[in-house]
Amino acid sequence: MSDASRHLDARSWKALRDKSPEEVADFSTHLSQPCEVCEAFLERSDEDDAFGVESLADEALGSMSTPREDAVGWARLRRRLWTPRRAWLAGAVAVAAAAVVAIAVLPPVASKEHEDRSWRLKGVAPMSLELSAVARLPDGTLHAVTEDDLLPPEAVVLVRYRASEVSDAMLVLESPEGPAQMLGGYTLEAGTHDLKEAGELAGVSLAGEHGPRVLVLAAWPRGPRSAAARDAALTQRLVPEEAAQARLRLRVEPGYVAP
Amino acid sequence: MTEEEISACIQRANGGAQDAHRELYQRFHASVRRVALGYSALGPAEVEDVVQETFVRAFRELARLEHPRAFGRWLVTIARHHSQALSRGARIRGRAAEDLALELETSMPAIPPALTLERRVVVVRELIEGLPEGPEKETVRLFYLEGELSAREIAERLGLGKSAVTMRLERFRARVKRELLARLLAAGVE
Ligand SMILES: [Zn+2]
Repeated sequence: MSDASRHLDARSWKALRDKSPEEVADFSTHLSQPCEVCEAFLERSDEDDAFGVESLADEALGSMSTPREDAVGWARLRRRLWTPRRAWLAGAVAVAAAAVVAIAVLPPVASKEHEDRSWRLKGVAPMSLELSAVARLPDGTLHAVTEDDLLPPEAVVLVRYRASEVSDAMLVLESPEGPAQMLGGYTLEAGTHDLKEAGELAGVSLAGEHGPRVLVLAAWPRGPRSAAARDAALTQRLVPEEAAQARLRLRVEPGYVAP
Repeated sequence: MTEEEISACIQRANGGAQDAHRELYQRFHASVRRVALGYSALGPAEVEDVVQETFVRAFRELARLEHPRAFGRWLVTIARHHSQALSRGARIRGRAAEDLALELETSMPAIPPALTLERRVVVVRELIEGLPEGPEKETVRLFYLEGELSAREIAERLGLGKSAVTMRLERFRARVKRELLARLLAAGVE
């Protein structure tokens, strides 16, 4: 260093910011050893993070221990971010809803046109997929949803599916007016099951919706590329033709109370 | 989670996939919480508020994040702004803090290979090991390596004032910054 006693201060900091080659070379050496004067400067100077060292330090310091799962924090965050579109039912309501869905699933709701369609990934055997739903109404009652059902925006729709095989899937809410809403990615089991996420029933809130809507469950039979195909579809916000699809048409009417 | 996995997760989250958001939250909540827990002025509820606000902001603005690799640094930057504002008693309302954090992100410099997260973790570990046995080392070990206690709880456990613990942590953090800055400058020299 030209002046061996020089430490970090406002002047040298500015020179470093300006990438003065001499200063950079000097301080890269000087700072490689502990220095109380320079560390005291760095401790104070938190408003000007020209080199991003604050975040470099915080990220490293926060990665020193193994994080444990934070289910409570995630549940709180999820409620904040996805209410009203997403809704989750817990406890007794979920149990009751599951029971009603079990009834609703017979007969299957998937429409004829989709049963006829061959869902074929290139070189993959077609899978069959059916979708049924139950709505929890504002008064707390549960209502098996049929095709073209009228529902109030306060309803929360729970989904049950029947899949012929394990698959990667996504749930979408389509609207004739705007872009489809990607409600999330899921793994489907073979057989008849409630659509679940992290062990809870996945519900779709209809708050803010008005008019015809279509709930679409799209699935890719589990294979080396199925999750990637699903993720690409979520990113592109499109339901591709090659995915197996089950659809349920709804109509959301404010003030309407299903019988 | 590897860098590629984090990038893929961010991409899926941008598409609206909730499970991708969940994975990001579970991967990063501890780093974010650690930032807030270092502020002894913040109580447990406020620390959780910082965690929540940080992720709400980050997830809502995720599409604006230019470099997925900067996600972790971006989160802790937002968390520090929130923690600072909260500990000063100034609840953040409006967009000032958000704008600041976003601005920082877009100007966030690319990091040289010598400063990948893995390398930085090694640097921090060596700095901790190099500390003489004593109160600073004990505090740092409890706070960062055990990764469960808040600055407040450590103060209680060690029978110290709250600010004494924050001071020790800040002092160690300055050592880390000094070491990282040296490496950053050295990478610029090469
Ligand atoms: Zn110095």
